[in-house]
Amino acid sequence: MIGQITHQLVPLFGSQAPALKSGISALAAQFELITHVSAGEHVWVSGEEKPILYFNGDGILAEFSSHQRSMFCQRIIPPNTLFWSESSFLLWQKTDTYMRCKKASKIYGVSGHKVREITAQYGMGYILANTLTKMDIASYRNRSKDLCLLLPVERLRKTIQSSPQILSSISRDELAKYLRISRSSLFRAMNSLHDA
Amino acid sequence: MREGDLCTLLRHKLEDRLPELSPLIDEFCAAFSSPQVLPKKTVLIRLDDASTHLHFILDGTVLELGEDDRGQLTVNQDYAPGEFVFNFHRHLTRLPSKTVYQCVTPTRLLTMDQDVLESFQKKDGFDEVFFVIQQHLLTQVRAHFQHLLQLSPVQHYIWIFHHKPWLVEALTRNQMAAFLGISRATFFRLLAKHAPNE
Repeated sequence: MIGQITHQLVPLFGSQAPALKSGISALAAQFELITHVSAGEHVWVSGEEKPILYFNGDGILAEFSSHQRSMFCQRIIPPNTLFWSESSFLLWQKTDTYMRCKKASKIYGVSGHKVREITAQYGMGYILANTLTKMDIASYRNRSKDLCLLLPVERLRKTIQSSPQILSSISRDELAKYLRISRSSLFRAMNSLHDA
Repeated sequence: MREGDLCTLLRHKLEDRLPELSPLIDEFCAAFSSPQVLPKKTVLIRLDDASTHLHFILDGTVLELGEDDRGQLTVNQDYAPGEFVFNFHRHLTRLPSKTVYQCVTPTRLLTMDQDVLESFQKKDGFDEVFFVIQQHLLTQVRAHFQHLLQLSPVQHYIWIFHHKPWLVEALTRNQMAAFLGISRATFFRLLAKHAPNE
């Protein structure tokens, strides 16, 4: 597992990664098994303090935000990837989303406190925090643009291309909300893609 | 919003790291230009602009405008008092800007020249200060995304009407339609049906 975590961490340090190799290894070694989650269970719910950098094992997770009793899928966490609560890990507030398991997984993690300690010890500064924040900014800007500009069928095609597992991971209702389209538009888009 | 608010904001966020970072924050805040007032329609960042000046808005509204492949207007983000304006595309991809950042009202702002910002990037501890700026940028884009995702165009417009009334005044109807992610025709139908009581 450490190898897979290291593999995920290295690109986050960009061109400085070779010089920070020992720090990256030390950080990867700090990840511990936090829990086994089954489908339907949560890694976190809204209102918790979870300043943790997580690693998802071989399962699939989905992050939801809540508004007026409706849940909106914001992102899918594929197997063997790092994930974090933006509000808690990056913005130093309580969580404001729900991270729900869609396919059973082992969840590993390292506390933000430990991340700070290791990055300070190995002279890694705030590279990791700045890179993760930058990635999130880019992801939200792209998603916002897609929601505003793409037709339903284009949104669906792009989503399937970037997250092929999405169709088997979340319900059609959740997918419709993820794409910000109605359920009937989703079915029409799926038919169009199927026909094409 | 006053000049000193920028320093207060950074100090508040980095409270647990003070006094260690205090001199750097003071130096950083002092390196911004004096407040300048830009008239409406002034372009802060042009298309294909590779600049990385950092702006902090004291008063007014800046819009990030673009066009998609089909020539359709896009309004990617609004920037209000207390928010930073940065050449996002350059920052995120190292490529020149694909959008234009334009003042849609007379705007009072502080600016840090890109060369000065670059010199700060080389200073020890500045990545921590810069992280606070990035936190603000993330909060801005995340909020806009969540509004687009969670609210119907009508709900979104009503939310803007109540929480950012200056946008209703400042944006043209074309811009507002693009900001809500709907066509101009749909926006006019929405206005006819659901215009909030003024």
